[in-house]
Amino acid sequence: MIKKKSNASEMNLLSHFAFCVIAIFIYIISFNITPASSMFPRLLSIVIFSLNAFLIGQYFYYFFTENEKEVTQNRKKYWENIFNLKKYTVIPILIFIICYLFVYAYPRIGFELSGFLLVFSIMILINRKEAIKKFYIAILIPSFFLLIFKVGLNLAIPLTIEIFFK
Amino acid sequence: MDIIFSSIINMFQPIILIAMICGVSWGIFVGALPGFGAAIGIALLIPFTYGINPTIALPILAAVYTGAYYGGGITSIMIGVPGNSPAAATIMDGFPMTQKGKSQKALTTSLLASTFGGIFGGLSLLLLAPQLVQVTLLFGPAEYFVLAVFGLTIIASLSGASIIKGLISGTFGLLLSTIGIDVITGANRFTFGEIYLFDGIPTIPLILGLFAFPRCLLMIRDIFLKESLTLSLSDDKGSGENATLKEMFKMWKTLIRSSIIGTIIGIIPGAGANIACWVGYGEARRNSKHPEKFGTGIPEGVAAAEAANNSVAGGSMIPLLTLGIPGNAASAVMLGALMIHGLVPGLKLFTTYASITYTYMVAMIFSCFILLAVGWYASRFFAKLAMVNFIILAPTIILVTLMGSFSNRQYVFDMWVTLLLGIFCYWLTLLKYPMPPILLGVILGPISEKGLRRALMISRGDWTVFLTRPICIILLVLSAISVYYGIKISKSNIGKGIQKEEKLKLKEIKGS
Repeated sequence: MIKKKSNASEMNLLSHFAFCVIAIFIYIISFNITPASSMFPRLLSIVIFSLNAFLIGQYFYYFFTENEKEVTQNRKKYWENIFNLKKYTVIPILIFIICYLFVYAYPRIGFELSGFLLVFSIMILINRKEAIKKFYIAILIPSFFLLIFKVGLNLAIPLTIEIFFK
Repeated sequence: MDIIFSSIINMFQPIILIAMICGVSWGIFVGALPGFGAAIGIALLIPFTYGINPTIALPILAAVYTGAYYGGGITSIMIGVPGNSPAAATIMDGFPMTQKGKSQKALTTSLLASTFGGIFGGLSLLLLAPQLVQVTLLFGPAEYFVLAVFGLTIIASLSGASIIKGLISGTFGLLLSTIGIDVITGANRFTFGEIYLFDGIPTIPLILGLFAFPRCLLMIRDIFLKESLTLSLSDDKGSGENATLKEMFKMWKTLIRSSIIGTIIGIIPGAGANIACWVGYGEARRNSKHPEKFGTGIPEGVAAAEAANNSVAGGSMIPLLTLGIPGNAASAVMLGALMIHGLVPGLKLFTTYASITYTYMVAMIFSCFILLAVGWYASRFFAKLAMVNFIILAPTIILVTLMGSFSNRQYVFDMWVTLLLGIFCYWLTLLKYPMPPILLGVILGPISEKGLRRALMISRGDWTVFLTRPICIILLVLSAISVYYGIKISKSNIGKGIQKEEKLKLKEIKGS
């Protein structure tokens, strides 16, 4: 039981602190709202704070009672698998940046072009082989969804053709 | 009885049959698209059915409703992304079955359970509407608040690794639900002046941010870690064995239990399939001789969730047709569709417009048989999704996810919501915080807050109001039991299961 708790403890501890900060933040800014409307969020922030404080307390309890050797081993294993693997952090951040750029560009350059860039860049990021094939696939996928969203579902999608030719 | 028989005969008219086949197909398709689902599927179809006779138009909408509930389960099973929130519980066993190479079995189990649940819910609607509707009248504000607490404890107990993390997720979801204008006082809460947040966090971008986007990131991460370019279905060619009637018959207790739960929860306004699927799943696990197997990929888990969420379709129509109270988003859209066709819920619906109403109710049942026929082949078609190369699938899902979040309100802001929630929830997922309680918290938030505040207003601030009403006491006892069992399960079976899973993942990582 003790070993299980310490496996993912450091990162979890960070998340518990983060939740505590969120709870305190909500509690403080709820003073700007009328008492009737702030009652429920305040109650929830107290619950979130209490649950996370309990888990923080539990962490330190295990920290002081656990065998030192086990702690070191478990911690080493954990950090190896979370942070030493760039794939856990770098790739999701890169995907996030690509998506961020897509959402930013979508109303400005239209769906066809932004969709193509999103699909193509993610495919290339995953695997650089057969770039020409991926180029054609990246044209086909947004085109297919353009048909569904624009024609099938009648969404008001900003189109590249309209933006650049009108 | 004559009306029911004439409604059944109506169903065999070629035009209605064809219309319902199209409706079910559209429903499955829309249900399978992440972020879409029954509500949007029906809403999109309303303009097309406006000019059609209600005896044809309403069966089409009933067919979409039925199809969408099943369709949501397809993506839950195949890619671990629920097409809609009622299909969230299907992931628990459906996706692990796919990972084991049993996607075909999971899909057919889901289909048969959906058909059973749908027929059960439809029959309940047809036969019990006037009687069962009395139950909802017993619910006051205090009961709604305690019901929300019960729903959250149920989902927290199902969250696996840690019930406390489940509760944190649920409470965080409730907190998210407080964003926007307070419906009681009109006060602006936590919007920071952003007008797009005045109505609260939009549900569809939230669902996509909680489930779809983190799943895409995990999918891409897995490609790097495992060097795998397809879904983990190396032994599954999409032509595996189907679920048989014999196997389904062995689960008869689960199917009936889940269908009853789904129907009852469907009748309770606001509760809906989002809760029913989890309660159905939780009860199936609780009553199972092998609860530790739930979550590892067993057909019973899929059947429990699917029978429950499909029976909600019929159940939610009971308060809608009799009182005009929608049980969920899809039935709220359905209410609009009824009104467009000049049908106002209430007594007149069962007297003046009885023939149309009964045609609609019979169509709810009949569409389940059509679903069985269409779904049997559609399942195989959708099963092929699993064979799509991850390199193509991952950006496609990201594109659909972002566009799906845009589709509802057509605001770019909603895409930002999905994106930011998505990256945040990716980290929470890595740290084993369950996502379904967050969603449930957001859905139950308005109901629970209104219930709490109104109950306290009525009792003049006396908190014992929640301990003095019989239904509240029952629900609180059930909540305590679910927390107790949640702790017990996470300490014993599931906890061990998750430890094993983590060890396997570590091995895989080291191997790659």
